[in-house]
Amino acid sequence: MRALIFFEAAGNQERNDKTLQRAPRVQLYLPIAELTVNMFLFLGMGGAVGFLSGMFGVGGGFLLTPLLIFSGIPPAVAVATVTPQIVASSTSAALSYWRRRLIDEKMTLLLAAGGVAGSALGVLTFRALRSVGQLDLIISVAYVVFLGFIGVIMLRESLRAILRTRAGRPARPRGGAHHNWIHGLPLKMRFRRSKLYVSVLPIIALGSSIGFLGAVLGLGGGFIMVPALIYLLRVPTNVVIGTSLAYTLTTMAVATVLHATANMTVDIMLAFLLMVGGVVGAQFGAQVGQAIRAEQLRALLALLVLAVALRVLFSLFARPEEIHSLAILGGTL
Amino acid sequence: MRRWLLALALLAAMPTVPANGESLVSTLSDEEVSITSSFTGERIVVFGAVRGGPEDADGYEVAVVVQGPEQDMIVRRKERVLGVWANRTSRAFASVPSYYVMHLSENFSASVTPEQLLDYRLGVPSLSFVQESRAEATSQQLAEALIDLKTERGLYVEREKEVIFLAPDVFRTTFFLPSEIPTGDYRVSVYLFRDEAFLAGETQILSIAKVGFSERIARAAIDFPFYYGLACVALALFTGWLAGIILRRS
Repeated sequence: MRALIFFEAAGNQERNDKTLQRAPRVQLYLPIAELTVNMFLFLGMGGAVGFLSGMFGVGGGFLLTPLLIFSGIPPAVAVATVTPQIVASSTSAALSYWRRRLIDEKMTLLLAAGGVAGSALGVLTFRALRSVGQLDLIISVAYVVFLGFIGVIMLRESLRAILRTRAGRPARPRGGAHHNWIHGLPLKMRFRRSKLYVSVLPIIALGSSIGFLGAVLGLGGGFIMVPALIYLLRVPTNVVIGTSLAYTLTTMAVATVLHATANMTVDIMLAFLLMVGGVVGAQFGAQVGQAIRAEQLRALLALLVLAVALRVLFSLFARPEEIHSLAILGGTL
Repeated sequence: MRRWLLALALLAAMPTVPANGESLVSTLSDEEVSITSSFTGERIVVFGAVRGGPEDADGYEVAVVVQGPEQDMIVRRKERVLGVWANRTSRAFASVPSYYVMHLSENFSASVTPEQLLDYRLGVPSLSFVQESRAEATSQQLAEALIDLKTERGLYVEREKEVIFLAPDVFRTTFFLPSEIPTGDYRVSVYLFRDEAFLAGETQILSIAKVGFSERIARAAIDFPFYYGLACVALALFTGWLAGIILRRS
């Protein structure tokens, strides 16, 4: 598990009496995870992930959850603790999009309604998987499948868009020719900010399925939501990120309360470290993100998503350093 | 009362009856360990003295055992399934001490045999879950894996030459409690031997508890999970909002 040298150096608790005496006072005891960690490691981790999340307009959960697990936080605590961190990092970014009127509020409400239902189901599923002892396997496989799938689609699309702009044509042509089956569904509604007239059914379905995945896998789902809004619903790119952030914020806030109530594995101290790092990073990330062309940003995000998928895939097939694991029967960790 | 009964039970487990009038007096550097938000582990010193022995008494041998609260554990072993490493075999073990340290004095470790230690119920191999696992090969392997994992994390420690004699009848040892120890009552037992024959024993309780801020957080998360969740969300919203305001200006 400890393939990343960075984490090996800093992530694990001091066990030796002598190094303990020399260690600076940066150690913090996590009351729910029940171990002592280096504060700066997790502040830095939050900062780095926050930067990327601000830049791409995603929650960053898909990066943070595996990082936490790789650095020794029990998976149940990692997944549940990432949810409030996603709330915090989405808040600062969502506010800045909201001020610039780049959020479709009506669509957000519909997405979030589905998201709340989905994450409730997800939290229950999470609890069931944990008691069977296959939580880490399911999390890993699901990461590989979803991240791999989304990453490939995104990369292909964004590379095409980049090639189109190189050729001097607009990056993403809009028009009747690009309408798909979704636009034939009933219960249509007008979304003024997105300049759309579509059915509410795919919106609610999208919100609930991403909410479900988010609660089980500890991710905000922005990286799925953004391409889904673009490719399935044809939401204009400028509104997509803000709307996705507002959805993530609402759903993850509900998921936090659900995880705390059903699983009691939200570590507020760890969450706070990640939040502080995350919000600072997100501010800088958002500035960088606005300076990069949308299709190039999407290509970068796709590469990042694929890299995480490959890393998790590798950990599934590589012989683990330690094949045995310990758990307290009926315990939370 | 409970402590007294416990000590009695332990003494009853010892096969040899004390021959002399020797008795033990021991004390701990701390009777309570507080887990605060800056807890990085704690060192505990055990001091002991032999009383009631002959004037020129010599050749005392000492074993100090520290045992944490027992837990029911499950050990899982990953095996290759369709090329993927997945948890496959597992065994549950009842009454596994969360923490187990045995320190011996040099003369004792030099002369005592593993069989004698087993007879005295000293050491990791003598623990009930280890003994019970011997019935089946897989259980035994997984029990050994459990011991290895605990040892790696500093939770199971067996050391020779760790009980130091300051005088022929006064001794000391130091053990370390890592930060990931569970809370609860820990039994610190001191056993006195001569020529590998048991003379006297004493057990004390060391209580380990979360205090202050971390205790309140852990308690809130269990007692008021809904409000705890809301507090997490409020903290997240506030942090995000505040950062937006501060950093937008700069």
